[in-house]
Amino acid sequence: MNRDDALVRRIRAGDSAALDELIACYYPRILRFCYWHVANRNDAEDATQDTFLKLILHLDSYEQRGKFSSFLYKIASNVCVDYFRRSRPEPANPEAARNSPDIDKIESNDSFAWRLRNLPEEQKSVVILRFAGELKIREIAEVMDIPIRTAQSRLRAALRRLKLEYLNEDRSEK
Amino acid sequence: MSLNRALREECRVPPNPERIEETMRIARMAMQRSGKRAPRSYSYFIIIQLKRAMPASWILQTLLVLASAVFGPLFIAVHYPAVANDPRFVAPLVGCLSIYIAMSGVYLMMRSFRCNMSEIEMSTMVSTRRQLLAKLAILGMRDIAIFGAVIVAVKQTSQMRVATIAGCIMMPFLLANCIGLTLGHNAPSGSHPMRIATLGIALGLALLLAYSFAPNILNLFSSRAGGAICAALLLLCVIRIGKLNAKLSSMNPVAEVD
Repeated sequence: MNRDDALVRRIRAGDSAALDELIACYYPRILRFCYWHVANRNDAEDATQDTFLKLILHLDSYEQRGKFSSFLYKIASNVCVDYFRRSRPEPANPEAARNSPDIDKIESNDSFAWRLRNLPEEQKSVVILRFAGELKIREIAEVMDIPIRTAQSRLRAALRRLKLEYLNEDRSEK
Repeated sequence: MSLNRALREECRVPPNPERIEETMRIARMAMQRSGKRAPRSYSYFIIIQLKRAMPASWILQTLLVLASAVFGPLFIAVHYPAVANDPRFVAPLVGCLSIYIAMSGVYLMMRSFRCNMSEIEMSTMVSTRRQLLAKLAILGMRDIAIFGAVIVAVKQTSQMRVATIAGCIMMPFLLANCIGLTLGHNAPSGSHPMRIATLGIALGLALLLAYSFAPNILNLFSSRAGGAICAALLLLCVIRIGKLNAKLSSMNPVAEVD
């Protein structure tokens, strides 16, 4: 039994210290994951908190197979989808929204982050899970419920796209 | 700076220690609240499932099936012994009965996909695997009781060997389960009952046609080839149940519904 499964077992037995240990261990990773999927840091912190609350509610449906991180990221992913749906504004004119000064500011100030956020949702999720969550490709495939090869190809496509933009950005800065 | 390093640095979000503390505090409270729910044993859960499975309706259905499939042939055996002793008459009857039994089992297995039943099942805090096992245990007990009675009754009225009777029952039963579980797995949510009913009728007709046009099929049931086919079908059923478990698990209970 790995460390996570041992913690889950202790939590099921009512050990609150084990719960604290689990939260302390996973909070930074889940926050990073949520941060890239919701609109702002506040929402990311709220989503992270909700993720752990839902984990407690549904801990009994976790079967100990040494895949706890995948289980937790799956919960986080669902929580983020819900936050995204709730917070997403419906612009009356998408072109006007695109040309707003706020967006220009974000693009100029933090262009790399902006490009990461602008990746297609499925590619972004793979990149975030790989680099923010530090998951292996197999674990990413489990979280996203896709074949390993699909996860690999999505990551490759995303990195190719980011690399091109990153190199262009580097050249223009020089 | 390499892209990988840039990504790793970009993805760093320093957590706020106060929010971590707050999350821990709220999580502890949630854990205490969830811990107050009385734990239920697995046997208690099976008893609850049996009650929910409407035993009165099951008993009535079983009596009707026994009346038509066992007492009918018994009546014929008394008045028309030549017909009743003929396996060509008994085998299709037993096969159709086993298809009917299989279809009602498939219907119970697919129950989770209807009327938000999966949410109710998840609220029991019992894992999907254990819930499936509970259903299989209930169906297994029922099937053993019915098929046992049918084998004894048919053995009394006809000259068929037990192995042949068991083959007549098991092959259509396993085939119906395989196809039923596959159809149910791929069917859109809510359309299972109609598909299962249609499949039951179609398989019953196919079996009657098979016995009409190829009466020698009966020899297959007591042969080694028949046993091998049954084993293969059983394996397929286990795979289908595994896939059903995976599908039920993927119906993530933690997803919010708008």
